[in-house]
Amino acid sequence: MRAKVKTPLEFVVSAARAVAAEPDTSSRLAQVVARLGEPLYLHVAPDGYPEREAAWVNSGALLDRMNAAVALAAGKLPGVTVVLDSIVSAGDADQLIGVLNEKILGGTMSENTKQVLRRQLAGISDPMQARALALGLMIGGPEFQRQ
Amino acid sequence: MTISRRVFVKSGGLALFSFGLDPLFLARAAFAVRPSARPPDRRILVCLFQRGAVDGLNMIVPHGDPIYYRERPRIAVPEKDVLDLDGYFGLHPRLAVLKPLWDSKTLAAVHAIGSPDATRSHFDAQDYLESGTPGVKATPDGWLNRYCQHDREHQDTPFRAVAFGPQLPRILAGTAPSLAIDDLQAFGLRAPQPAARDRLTRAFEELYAGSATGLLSTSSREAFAAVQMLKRLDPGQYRPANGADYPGGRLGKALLEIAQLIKADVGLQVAFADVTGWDTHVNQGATEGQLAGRLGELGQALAAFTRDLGDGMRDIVVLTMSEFGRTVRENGSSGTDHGHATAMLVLGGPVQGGRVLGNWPGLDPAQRFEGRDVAVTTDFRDLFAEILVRHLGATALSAVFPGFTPDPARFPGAISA
Repeated sequence: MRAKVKTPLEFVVSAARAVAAEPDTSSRLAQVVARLGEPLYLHVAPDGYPEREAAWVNSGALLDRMNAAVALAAGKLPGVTVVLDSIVSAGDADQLIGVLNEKILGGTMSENTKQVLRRQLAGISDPMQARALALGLMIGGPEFQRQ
Repeated sequence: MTISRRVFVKSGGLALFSFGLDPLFLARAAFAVRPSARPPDRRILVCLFQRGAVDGLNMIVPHGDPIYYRERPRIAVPEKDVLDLDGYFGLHPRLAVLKPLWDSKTLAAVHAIGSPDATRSHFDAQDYLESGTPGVKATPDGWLNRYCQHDREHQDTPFRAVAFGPQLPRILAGTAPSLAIDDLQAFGLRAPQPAARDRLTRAFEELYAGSATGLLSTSSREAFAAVQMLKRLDPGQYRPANGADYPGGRLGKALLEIAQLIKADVGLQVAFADVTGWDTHVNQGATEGQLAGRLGELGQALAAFTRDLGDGMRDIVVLTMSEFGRTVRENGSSGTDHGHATAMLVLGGPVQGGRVLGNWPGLDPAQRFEGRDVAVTTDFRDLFAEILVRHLGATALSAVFPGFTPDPARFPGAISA
């Protein structure tokens, strides 16, 4: 279960859906997919985009995903509008983590991830900022990379 | 057999493992060429891909051949402008900055080199040059990555194999760790302030350290190790040495960042950058013009890199490559169309330079490929293999170039044996 790593397209689409992002009509979101390593309709060989994780996971690509996740949660990813209030209202840390775990990870969040999020959120007083950070870490984190 | 002591020292368990189970062992035994006394892991290969097919005939000009001038009335580089190299070939004048390297015998050219596959499609030919398997589309990885997979003597660091550009190119795609860096300064997590950036980096590092498995785990470890190393490096503070003057634009920036990583001693062994603008179908120009501008940038970037590295060049080989050459005869638009063989440059301390290498087939129509292009007399894999073996100390060449048997007798002789 959840063994395969998402392709860049799967990652961007699932992330955008998870935060109920509204894509605009430009190609900017597709350019994000391309930057993450999967330029749409431009695969070189005629055998289609690979399903093997080795084709998509490398250290640079992973950092790019983390950056895209943080940008998305901050409402700064090109090509989409994000209204986080429709996902979760800003509340205390445990409540936030609980709701996001259900809505974004289907309740599969590991204990380690919960602890890291709690520690990160502890130092932040602005609830909007806390929510964006939690979302960014969750979408850029390891659980969300798997199908 | 040349399994050195270092194998055991550096990666004992892995090496022993491979003794028993690795089918490459036989290949290594059969092709054990280790001419160098210097430890191979100090040695670095920089590959520059001229995407779009450079006109080898106007880069390394056969000015001694009247056919060249007859076939190119508008775009031939006039005899008076060519910088003669050996009485027959000469440098394009905009590569004049490289002439001192030629004179000091650290720059060689290989002419009439290319792919045995006849395709004139950029798409296919670039694919074949990067996969290292001309004619075979299904090869999943690139030959530089396969070299990294099979040469286990060099320690893997996050910076062992780096491509400078937004995406990992085909040549470095594969299971060996490799990194695409678009901008050394921006590599890593982005945040408005350094403190926020550090906190975000730590948070992701903890997430992946605790919850990631498999390739996600190893790749994230490499990523954060690379971020740490770069932080210490402080790329924003880099100043090129010896007054080296890199040209503006992507190529100059890529070579500057490669120089920076080499000097930082972070374990870089294989670097790759590409540069476009060589597909000169229309108004190619001669001494001046479109191609001259591209060559000028290439020459300036290579000269700056060499100057910046100084003595460090004794361990470095820079190789230029392009998917094919261009037609001998100019077309109706004062340009050239897709051809077959081209020329590649090899420069650096280990190079046996000052020579145009390869077997020159001549420009006579009877000697051309399909009557129109310079014929390929050197399979590019023979040059790549020579550099991997004689420069980097590679031993598992049959795994790097499947279906091809590199033969030292066919090596062009670019690297001191």
